[in-house]
Amino acid sequence: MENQSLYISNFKYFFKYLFFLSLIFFTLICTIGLFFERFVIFNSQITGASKINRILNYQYTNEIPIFGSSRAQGSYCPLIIGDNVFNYGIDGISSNIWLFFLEQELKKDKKSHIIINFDLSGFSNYIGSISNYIPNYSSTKNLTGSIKNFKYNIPGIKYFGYYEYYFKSFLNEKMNLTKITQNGGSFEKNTLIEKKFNKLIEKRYYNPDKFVINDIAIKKFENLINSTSRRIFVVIAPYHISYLNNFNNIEVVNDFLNEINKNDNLFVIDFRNEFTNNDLFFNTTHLNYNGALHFSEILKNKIHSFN
Amino acid sequence: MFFNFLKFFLFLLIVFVTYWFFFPKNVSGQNIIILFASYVFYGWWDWRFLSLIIFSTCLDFFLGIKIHSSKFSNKKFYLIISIVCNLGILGFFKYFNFFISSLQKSFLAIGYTFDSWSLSIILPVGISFYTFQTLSYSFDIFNNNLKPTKDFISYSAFVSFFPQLVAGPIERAKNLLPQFLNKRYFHSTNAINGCSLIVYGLFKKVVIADRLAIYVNSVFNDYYSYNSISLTLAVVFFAIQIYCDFSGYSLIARGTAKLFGFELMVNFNRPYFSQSITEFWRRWHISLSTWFRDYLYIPVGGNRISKKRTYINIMLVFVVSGLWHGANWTFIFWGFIHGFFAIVFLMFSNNSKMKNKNRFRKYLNILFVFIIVNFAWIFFRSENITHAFKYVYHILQFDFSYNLVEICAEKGPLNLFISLLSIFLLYLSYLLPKSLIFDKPLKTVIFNVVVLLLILVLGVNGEPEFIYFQF
Repeated sequence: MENQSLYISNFKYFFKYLFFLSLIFFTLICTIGLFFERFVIFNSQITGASKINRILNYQYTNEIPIFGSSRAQGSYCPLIIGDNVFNYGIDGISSNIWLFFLEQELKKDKKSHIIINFDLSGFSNYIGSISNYIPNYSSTKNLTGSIKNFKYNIPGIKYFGYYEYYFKSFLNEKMNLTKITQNGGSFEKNTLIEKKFNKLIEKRYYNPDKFVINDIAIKKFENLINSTSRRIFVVIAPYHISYLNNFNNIEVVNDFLNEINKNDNLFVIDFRNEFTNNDLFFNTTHLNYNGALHFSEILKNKIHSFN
Repeated sequence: MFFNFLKFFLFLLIVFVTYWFFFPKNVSGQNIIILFASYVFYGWWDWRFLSLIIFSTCLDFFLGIKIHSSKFSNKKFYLIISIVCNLGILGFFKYFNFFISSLQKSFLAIGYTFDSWSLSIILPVGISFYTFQTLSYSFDIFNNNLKPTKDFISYSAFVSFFPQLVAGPIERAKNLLPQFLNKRYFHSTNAINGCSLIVYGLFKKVVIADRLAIYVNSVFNDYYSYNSISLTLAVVFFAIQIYCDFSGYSLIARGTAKLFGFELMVNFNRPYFSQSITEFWRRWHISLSTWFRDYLYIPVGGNRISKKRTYINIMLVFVVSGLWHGANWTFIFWGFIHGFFAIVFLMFSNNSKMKNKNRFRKYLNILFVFIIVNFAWIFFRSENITHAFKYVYHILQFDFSYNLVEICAEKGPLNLFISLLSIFLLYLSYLLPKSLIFDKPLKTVIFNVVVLLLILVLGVNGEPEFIYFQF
């Protein structure tokens, strides 16, 4: 009998301990999570998460948005292109996500232009890092495809493995250590050594890219263009020559661009061959900061010429 | 099924509740639960290989009884059957293709060619660990250090005990088997300590090992693009990565076992503070090194014979230990380096009458051992011998040019900073009491909360596998 009660009291003590531990832990992690969200994630303009939060929850009437992938994020300097320009480019995403941004933007009562960076790879389905969607998981879980997890609903715990990523973006923005940032844009400060860059060029020869056609996405894009009277600039930022020389179906891209250019409110601006100097590139598909400065300047002039 | 999956903790909870609440005083019932849980745990990875564990279990269970009840010549015969069968299975699954390809290369070197063929053999997880565990049972009975058990369920549970099934510690029957045969009681202090060990093990794996792996993988996969600074840093990081990965696993295994009332042996004891290679092996993967000491080194003569034979015995143990890790010349060479320096240290310590009372000398020894161990890790981590030598060659270029991207292994300064921070946290954790037994309950709570927060905030959501699963 004495043994039995000792046995039960041992368990009671153990479970009490676990309960107490869990309570303290969850209280602390939820608090840390909320503070982190408020003061780090949404306090930085360059993370995909803050950009999704901005497009979903804020309305800046005069803002000119730039949508696209990492090529958009790293090539367009908002402060050069014009006042009220904000770069919504997100690393690793493709048309499925910038179409979502465009859809959200067109829901707003605005008249400003829209700039879309168009990648020659066309309409694929890359979502980038899941960290872009976690803070607004309930509104964006349809975008994340197969990457769904219940833990993304739990405060604090949902950021496991991503705290560093958000903090890195926050630091980059506040300190500009390795990247230069402005209004959502994030530009490579470092340059690769020549040996590395040449290796990337060599790799490109073995990995040619191609334009991907996705009828549903194209249809959606066309519907969105037709649903608005706002001016949409579809811009092709410069590529390194090695990328263009190893592209499989460039004529399909040209046909597509010619076709969409027929829309009254859409203007295709093609700078794909604009730069030949290696010094302006970070790799074969992305510009470095210098490249972005040059490109933004000529883009600004081009857009002005349309007015 | 792997340790840092949420699934594992759910599995653990179910087994824990069933074990203590359905069979609180029934040892046989508890052993059946452990056995069933262990087979589910292993079968989750690949159920087909359960047959190997069951075969190995049955074989050594019956041979154990036979060895004990037979006269000397027959004893030897049954022991040989046990060795041949166990090592035969291990050899086939682990070394067959390596043997064929090495043979082919050897023939090619002397001008002969023959058609190469190999089988696509999957290496069963944990085979090296449970094979050595069952072998030790037969050896101990043969040496009259242990009496065989007649309780088949307890023996099966001992062989397949899930916390240590896939990566050790390689427990001796003498230590673990009696725990399966005797009544076990739930002690909250032990269980709480078990939780602390699990949390600390996870910390070592997720915060330190997985973090350092980012840098290490980046450099080792592209070593020819990096200068001496990055290459050296990657080796040091790998040394700490593999230590935290493996010792983290061992801690989780010990902690899990404690939840069920078992005590597993300590497998690591701050190995990088060793002052000689032999001391390093008394602190690193202790369950394996003592296994080799007891069942290979001592039986071949140990150090009770001539110096020359002692050196040969040392080299034999280290080379076999290298081979145990995997079917690759890199592991054999890794063992050879350790063997070579263990002999050098032994020669030196034999000639020296001085005791290391000098603090500076002590630190110098620790540094020297650390450098040797790191040098050997290059071979352990490399894909092949050529890769390893080229890696060493690149380090010896002494290119210390400064390039931030290169020094950060293209993973950014923050990753490098957190890597260094994680090593500092490891050092800080050394200030905690050994075995994490705190004098006040509040200290245990604070420890667990802080470490859990560190895991969540600094942890890497990376590969859930432990390095030693492949062995």
